[in-house]
Amino acid sequence: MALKIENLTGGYSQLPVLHQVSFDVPAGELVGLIGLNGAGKSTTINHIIGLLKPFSGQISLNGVDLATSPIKYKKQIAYVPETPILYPELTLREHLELTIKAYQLNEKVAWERAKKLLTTFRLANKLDWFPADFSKGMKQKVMIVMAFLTDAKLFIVDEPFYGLDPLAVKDLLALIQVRKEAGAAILMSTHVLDTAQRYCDRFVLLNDGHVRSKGTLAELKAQATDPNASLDDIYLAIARGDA
Amino acid sequence: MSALFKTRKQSHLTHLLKYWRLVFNDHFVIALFFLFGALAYSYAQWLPKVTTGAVWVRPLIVIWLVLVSQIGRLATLVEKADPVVLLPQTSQFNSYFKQAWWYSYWRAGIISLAGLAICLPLYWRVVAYHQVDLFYFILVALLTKALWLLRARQTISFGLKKLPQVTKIMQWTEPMVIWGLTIWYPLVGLIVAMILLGITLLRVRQQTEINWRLATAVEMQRMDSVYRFFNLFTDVPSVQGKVKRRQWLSGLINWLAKGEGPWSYLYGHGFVRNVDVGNLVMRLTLVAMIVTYFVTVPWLNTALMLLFIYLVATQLMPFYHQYDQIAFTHLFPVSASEQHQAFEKLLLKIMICVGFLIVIGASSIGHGHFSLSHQGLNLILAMVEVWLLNRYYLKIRIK
Repeated sequence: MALKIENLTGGYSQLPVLHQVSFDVPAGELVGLIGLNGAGKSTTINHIIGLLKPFSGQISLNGVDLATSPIKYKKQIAYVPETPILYPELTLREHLELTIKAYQLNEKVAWERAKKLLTTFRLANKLDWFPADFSKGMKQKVMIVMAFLTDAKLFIVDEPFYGLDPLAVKDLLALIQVRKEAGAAILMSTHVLDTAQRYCDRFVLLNDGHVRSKGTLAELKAQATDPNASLDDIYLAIARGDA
Repeated sequence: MSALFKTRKQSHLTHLLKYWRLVFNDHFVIALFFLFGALAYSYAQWLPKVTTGAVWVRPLIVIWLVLVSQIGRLATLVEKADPVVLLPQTSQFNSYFKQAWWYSYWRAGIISLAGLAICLPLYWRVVAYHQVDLFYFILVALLTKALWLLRARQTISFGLKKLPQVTKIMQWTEPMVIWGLTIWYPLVGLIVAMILLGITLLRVRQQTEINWRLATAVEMQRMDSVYRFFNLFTDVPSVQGKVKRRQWLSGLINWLAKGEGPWSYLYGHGFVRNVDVGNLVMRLTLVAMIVTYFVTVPWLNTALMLLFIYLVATQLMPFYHQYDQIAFTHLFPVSASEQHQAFEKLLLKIMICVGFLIVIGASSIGHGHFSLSHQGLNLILAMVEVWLLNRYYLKIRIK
C-alpha cells in the first residue's frame, strides 16, 4: 500500500473544506482524483504534499507518517502542479541541479535520466534559458522533468491536460505508464473525464469535500443505476446529487 | 484633450500617493532623514574650511548643477493603448503634450532651484556676493531645465532629423555649456541660455507630430523606474523582479551558494541574479562608502557607518521569504531549520563584505590622514554589528 489517507478533515482556515476523506493510492496504479471546480481536489493535494496541516486524520506513505516524519515522507513524493511556478533566477539547468540537491540524487544517474526527459519534451536545447523565456506549457514541461527526475514512490500530477500540447500529454501519459510499471503510485487530479476513463486504474470521486464514490470503473458502474454509464455520466449524476 | 490630461494627472497622482504613503511608513525613510541631517550638518561644518582661493570649487559646482539639471523627466502619461484608440485625434494632441510639458516643468524646476540652493553657499565662499548674480542664477536654472525638457519633447517627435541619441547628448552638453559660462560670467551664461532656448522652441513648434511608438516606450520606461523605486519599500505588482544572468559574477554565486542543501543553492543564485535585491545592496553600499568618506567628524563617521550597515541588512532580510510562493520549495525533503541556516550564512557572507567595504569608505577620518586607531575601532564595531544583526535581529525580522 503506497499512499494511505484516513479520515482526513482539513482546509485553509478554520472552516473545513474536506470532510472525512479516506482513500488509498496503491503502488503500481494510477488513481484519478475526479471532481468539479471547488470539489476539493487541490485542497486534498495540498494536504498530501504537506502544504496544509490536517485538522484531523492521517496521511502516510509506505508506512511513513507525514505528520511525524515529514522529511522521510517528502523524500518519496514528487509533484507537478497545475500552475507551473519556477524560480525566476534559475535556468532550466539549475532547476534540475536544485532538484538533484534537494532529493540528494546521484548526479550522474540523474543527469542521464534528465537528458532523456529533456529530449522527450523538446527542452534539450533550452538548458540555459530562464523561466521568463518559457511559455506556460514549457514551464509545465520543466516541472514534469523535475518531478520525474526523482525516484519518488508517489507522483502527484495536478490537472495535466491544460496548457500541454497533445504530444506532451501523450508523452506524459507514457512516462506515467513506465513509472507505474516500475512500482510507483500515481495520483492524478483532473476533470477531463474521458481521458481519465481511458488511463486511470481507479477513481476517487470528490464532491463538496466528501468522497462520494471510489473504485475501478467496473465497481463504479456496479454502484451506479445504469450499468452502461461512462465515467462522465456517473460523475455528473453524483455532482447533480442524483446518486 | 486638455481634459484628458487633467484626468490622467489626477489618477496618476492618486496612484502615486498610495505608494508614497507606504514609503513614508517605512523605518528606512526615518533612517534616510537622519542621513540627510548628518550630511547637512557635516556640509555646514566643512564650509568654513574651504579657502577663498580654492580653484576646484567652480568646476565642482558646474558638475553638480549639470547633474541636477538631469533630474526630472518629461512625464507624458501616455498609455500603450493611446496610439490605437486616440489615433484619429493625433492632430489635437498638441495641447495634451503642452500640458504634460508644463506639469513636468514646474516639478523639475523646483528640483533645479533646490539643487542651486545647495551649492550657492559654497559658491559664495570663493566669489564675492552680488544680489544680481543670485537673480541670474535662478533664471539660468529655470531656463536650463526648460531647454532640457524641450529636448525631451523633441525626442518623441517625428520631425526630428537627428537621432534620439544625439538629443540625449545635447541634454548633457547644453547644461554643461550654460553652467560653465554662468559660474564664471553669470550674465553671459544667461544670454546664451536664452538664445539656445529660443532656437529650440522654434524648432519644437515645427515638429509637433508625435512618434507614438517611442513616446509610449519612453513613458513606460519612466514609470518603470518610478515603480522600481517604490518597490524598494513595498511590493509593486507590476515590478516582477527582473533577472540578469551576471555570468561575470559566477564566482560570487559559487561562493554564496556553497553548501550541501538546496537552500544555499537557491539563495546564492537568487541574491546575485535578482536585479532588485542585488542592485539594492550594491547601490546602498556604494552610497554608504561615499557618504562616510565625506563625513569626517569622527563620531558621526562611525555612527553613519553603523547606520548604513543596519540599513543594508534590513533591506536584505525580506529576501528570506522570496520563495514562499513557490510550491516546490515546500516539497524539499529537508528540515525547516535548513532554510534558516542557509539564509543566515548568506546574510553573514554578504554583510561581512558590505561591512568591510563601508569601513574602507569611512577611512577618511582626520581629513585625509589615515587614523589607524579610529579605523580599527570602526572595523571592530562593524563586525560586532554584523554579528549581532545576524545572530539576533534576523530572528525577529523573519518570524
